[in-house]
Amino acid sequence: MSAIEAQDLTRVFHVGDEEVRALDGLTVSLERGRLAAVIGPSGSGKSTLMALLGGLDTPSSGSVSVYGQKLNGMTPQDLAAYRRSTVGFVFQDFFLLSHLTAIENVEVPLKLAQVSRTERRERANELIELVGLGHRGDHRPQQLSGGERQRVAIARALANRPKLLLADEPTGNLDEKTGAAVTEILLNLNKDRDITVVLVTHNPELANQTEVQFRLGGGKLQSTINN
Amino acid sequence: MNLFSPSGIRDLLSDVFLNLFRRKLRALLTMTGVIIGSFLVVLILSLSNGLSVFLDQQIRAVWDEHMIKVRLKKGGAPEQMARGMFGGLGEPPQQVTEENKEEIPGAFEFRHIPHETIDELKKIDGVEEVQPEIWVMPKSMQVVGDDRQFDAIVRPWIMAGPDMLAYGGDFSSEQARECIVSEAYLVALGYTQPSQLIGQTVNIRIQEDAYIAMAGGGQMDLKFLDKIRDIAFLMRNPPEDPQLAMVTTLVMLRDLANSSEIQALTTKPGNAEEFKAKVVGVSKKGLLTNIIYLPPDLIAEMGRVFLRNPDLYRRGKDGKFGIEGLVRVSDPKEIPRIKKEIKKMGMKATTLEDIIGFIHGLFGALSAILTVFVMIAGVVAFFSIVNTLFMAVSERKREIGVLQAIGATRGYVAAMFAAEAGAIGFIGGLIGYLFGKFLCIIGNIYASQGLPYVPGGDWGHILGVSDLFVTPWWVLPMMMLAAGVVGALAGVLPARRAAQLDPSEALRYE
Repeated sequence: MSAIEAQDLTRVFHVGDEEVRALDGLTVSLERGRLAAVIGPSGSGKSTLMALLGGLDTPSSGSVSVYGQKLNGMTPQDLAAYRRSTVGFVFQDFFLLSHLTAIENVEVPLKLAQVSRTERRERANELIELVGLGHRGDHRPQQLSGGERQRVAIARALANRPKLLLADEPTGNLDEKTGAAVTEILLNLNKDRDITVVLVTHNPELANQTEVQFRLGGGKLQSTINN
Repeated sequence: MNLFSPSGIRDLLSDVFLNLFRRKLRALLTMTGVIIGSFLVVLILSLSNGLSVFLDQQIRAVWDEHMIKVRLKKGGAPEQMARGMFGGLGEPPQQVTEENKEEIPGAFEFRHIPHETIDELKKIDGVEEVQPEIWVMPKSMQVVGDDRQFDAIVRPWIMAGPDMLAYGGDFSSEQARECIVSEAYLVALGYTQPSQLIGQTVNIRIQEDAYIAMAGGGQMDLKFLDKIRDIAFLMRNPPEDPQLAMVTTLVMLRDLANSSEIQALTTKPGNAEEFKAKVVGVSKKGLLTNIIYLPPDLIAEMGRVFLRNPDLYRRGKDGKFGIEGLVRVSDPKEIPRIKKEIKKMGMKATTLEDIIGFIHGLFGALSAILTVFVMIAGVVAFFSIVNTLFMAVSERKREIGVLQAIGATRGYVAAMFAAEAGAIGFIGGLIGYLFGKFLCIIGNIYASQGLPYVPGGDWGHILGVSDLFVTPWWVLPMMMLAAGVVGALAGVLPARRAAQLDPSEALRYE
């Protein structure tokens, strides 16, 4: 079964009277357990594709299914359940909740999935250990470095054991060294945990470490490169 | 995701409190409206309830629930006289007619309840006894063996009934020369125990009422003059037989000397007649702290001296019952029926319910005014919460997007904001309640001690029996509910706006 199956995906935005086609008939598929990069210039539709794959947005036309679940026609409720159980997000700006500690941030998705208090503390601790921040669990995001924040964000994305991890410029705000460390974590996740990982990146070095690269341009798939 | 499971609710609430705590000052400022509103509710409801309870108790001190006060429809009705006096305000002069002549102040006369009517009243099923209403203001009361004299008001015990008895017992008979005195006398006399007073004899001095003395005696003087006139007539038209003339004159003079009118005249103004009574009981302290309750015969005797009318409160040919009667019934539940029967006899009947109902009506009106103010506070609080939450939604747009990205449903986001609004209301209500309650306690302490810095504020003893602020038990739950509902309603629109945020829009890079 394919992890991702997108057919003729189109997303049109209306900005005033103008019509912007962020995605324009994009068709793409990815086998499960693979590590892929989405590359392309700004405005090529990378982030829109991520939003559609993650169920944060719905296409204007075309269809998208992830692990056999057809996202078109899902109710907002179903989409929320999909985001909770199937997909994990990592953002360029980390988007951690500033009033919560690292551990508590990781616990949020578990709380939304109604995991019991003890179990979620246990799992959050495990994940914080996994990303190498066992000693920083009680710190709030403001007390952490950029790399550490991104690692907390990865731990949070993994909380509900997703099958698909979507990372939008995960190293975009990090220096080279910490970016490399974060990249390593993502690569290991793909290998060790059999999670399909899709990265949006401008960073060719990161893209070259993936198995497949989808190059977008003007909302269309311009080429697929198998590394 | 089930929001309504116990763990779901617990998690939601912990999030809500965490969010409120993040912006403590703003949350507190938003709550101000709710705090002021609920603070006012507690304070005013407690005061109005406290006063109501207090007055209730005071009325019960002179009005037992077994008692109905009766009087004739015409004559002796103070409110009719008042109507006569003030009815002309702003109106053209009224013509005196057969119907209204009793209401004209100048034509007003007291009418005693006829003895036949009293007999009829006694025959009503459920009526235990009928006694005249007597109000006597003694010159003084004094414990025998103690030099000090105190002021007093004397009332028939039938008015207060056994409920007001705090210590000791009831009278041994209707004729007993015994009394039950207010607990307040213990303080005045410097006693610590009721037993120190019970068993002692008090001397109650009664002198003719100053107004009666000034007016010259009324009916009694007319009868007295009639007798003098008879003797004068005899003097002018003596019988032929001088012996007969002498004997007749002597008999008439003897009758005059023995008459109750002459007897009554022996109580010279300023010289009080003394009545001794043994203290058998101590009554609960009330507004009338100087009250002394007496059995019917003793108080009737005092009443005759006080009003200088030897026929008053008596049966017999010349006896007058009095203008008001106190009807005691065996079962208060029967009062509506008995009251109806009394009215059928052409009399007016007033019960404890009537008086208390009037007072409760008064406080009901006060509460209605309060409700309007509270509603205004509620509206202000409502808009303040709406405003704060709209601000919170736009400030936390990114956070809402993140929560949606990691699986929060729209329902959860909406519930989060609605619960936050509800919590603002709820906590505000609680703070307001506690604040109000605190002031009530302070108020009660001050009220019971009097206000030392206020001129004439030394009235703490009046409230000795009850608190000035009495918060009804239902105020806390009702207010928490109302404040929570106002908050939650205020949260509806902001919650909807939060729930409808598009997650991809909310997460778009700035």
